[in-house]
Amino acid sequence: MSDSSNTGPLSPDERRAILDAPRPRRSLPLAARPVASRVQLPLADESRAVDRTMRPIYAVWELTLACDLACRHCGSRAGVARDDELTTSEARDLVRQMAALGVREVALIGGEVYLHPGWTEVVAEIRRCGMQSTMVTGGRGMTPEVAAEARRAGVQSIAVSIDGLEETHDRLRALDGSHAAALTALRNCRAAGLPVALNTQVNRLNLGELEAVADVLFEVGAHGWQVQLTVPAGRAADEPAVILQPYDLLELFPRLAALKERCDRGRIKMMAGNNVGYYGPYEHLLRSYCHDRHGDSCSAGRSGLGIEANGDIKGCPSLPTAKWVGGNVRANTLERIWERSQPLRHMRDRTRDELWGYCAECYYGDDCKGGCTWMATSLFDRPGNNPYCHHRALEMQARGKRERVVRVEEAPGLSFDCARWDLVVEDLPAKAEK
Amino acid sequence: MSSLVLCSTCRRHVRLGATTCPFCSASITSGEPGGGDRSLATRGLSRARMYARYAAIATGVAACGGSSSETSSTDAAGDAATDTAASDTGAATDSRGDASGDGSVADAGADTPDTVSDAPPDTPCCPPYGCVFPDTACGGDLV
Ligand code: SF4
Repeated sequence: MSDSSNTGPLSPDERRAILDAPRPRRSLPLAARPVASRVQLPLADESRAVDRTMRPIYAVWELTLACDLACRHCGSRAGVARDDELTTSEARDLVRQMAALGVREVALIGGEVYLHPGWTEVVAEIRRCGMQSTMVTGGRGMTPEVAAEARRAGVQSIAVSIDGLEETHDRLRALDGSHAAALTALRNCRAAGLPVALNTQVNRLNLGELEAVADVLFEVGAHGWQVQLTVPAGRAADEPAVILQPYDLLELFPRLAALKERCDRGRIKMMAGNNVGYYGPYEHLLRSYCHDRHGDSCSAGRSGLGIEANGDIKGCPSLPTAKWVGGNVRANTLERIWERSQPLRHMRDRTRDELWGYCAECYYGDDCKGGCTWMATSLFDRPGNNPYCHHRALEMQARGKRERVVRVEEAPGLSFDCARWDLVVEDLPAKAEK
Repeated sequence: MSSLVLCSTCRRHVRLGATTCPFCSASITSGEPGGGDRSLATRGLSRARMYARYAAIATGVAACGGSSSETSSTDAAGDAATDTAASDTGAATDSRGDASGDGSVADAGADTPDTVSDAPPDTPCCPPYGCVFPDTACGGDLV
């Protein structure tokens, strides 16, 4: 078992204060009902060669915003279903459009997938159309019966979110017993014959517990582990003390590298998510699964497709709704939205000129283009400058500096919304300080 | 094709064509994308092969209908044809259709932006997020 006394970047007192902090009123699940967006931007008259040659490979689909949890770091502020979610019939039609467009893997997320009345029919249609089917769950309602339904429908892998040890997980998920429920879900899925994986968001509360989360991988026989940073969007933007600071990556990355080696030895596939980067001394290890052993720039609208439960189409499921929805499948076909909407075209058309701040002068700018668009836009309302970068933190450190983000304006309280943040460059503190 | 290679001394990625590593000052002797250790770099290919298989299945997607889609069946067939070209040499191709290997995109008209090289990864390896798929992509022959 791993040492669970490590408190990561926080002192024990700081950590206790955050654990005990009451939930911000703004982040309560009933505070803001999701609004129907149904964005209908004009589409271009014609598609271009680049729009026809680039095709979505991965689709991540919020099947419903209804959720049986209301996590304090949830980017979509899930809990209540959207007013205008796709019916099962509409969802199955969208599955067929995805397959025709070339999508090969569909990851269903929520909310909670099993709260959509037709979720097993959607899964079955995904498989019937020859695509791979996975899903992500918080696990609260993943009973043996639901797990068996998933298996029968054709789900090929289920990822259960585990965000730390019990106290940390329950605090982040805002429900006592949610950690125990997630572990039970893992066992129920295994008993049903489903391959299981873990998903973990890394933040200041759980950075010191990642090794203990890795223990769970081995205990439950998981085949994979995807690790992402908690992005300051949605409810996570309401709790700035929980979000990692950019300089915390200096502590995080050696730990991730050690965990990757441990997972490799245990034949568990650990994947650094697309906001874990970039190009530092562990890139080749953390992205050993990639052809060139390094990440690519943001894949939204290039190989990635994101879908909101009402049929709104984005390049990445987490991008802020207002600026990044290209259209809705009730008004246009998926193909037309993919090929002709400006938000979907954005990553196909951009150049290095989009970079700003430190990223504009970065050695890796041509390849990286600022990394995760969700992270950059959640901080600064535009892509192209991302302080959550290991290479950048190391360069700052070499100059005796570090970067810190400071929230200067709260998020309005809507699904996938963002706060406003300032970026402070300051001298590194003396070694002993945190 | 990546524009970066791996410095065998400090394991940082450096620009293709660099003679000296900007991070550790070691001389760069290998010009191979991802560095000299291909046993690691080819781990992603099993997923590409798997996708080739699925793309072949997707060719039959006409059976699924796509009732309101305007997608022509030639698109899916084109995908399958290029994906099936994935091989152990690392020359996995994708749905861009640039199987010619020179990075050019056939039929690129005047409306094609000059960033056309900013294409999806040659070897699709990881969902933006979602669930890790139980295949052999990164850990050897898992599951
Ligand atoms: S500084 Fe910016 S462009 Fe450079 S590697 Fe980091 S995120 Fe990418």
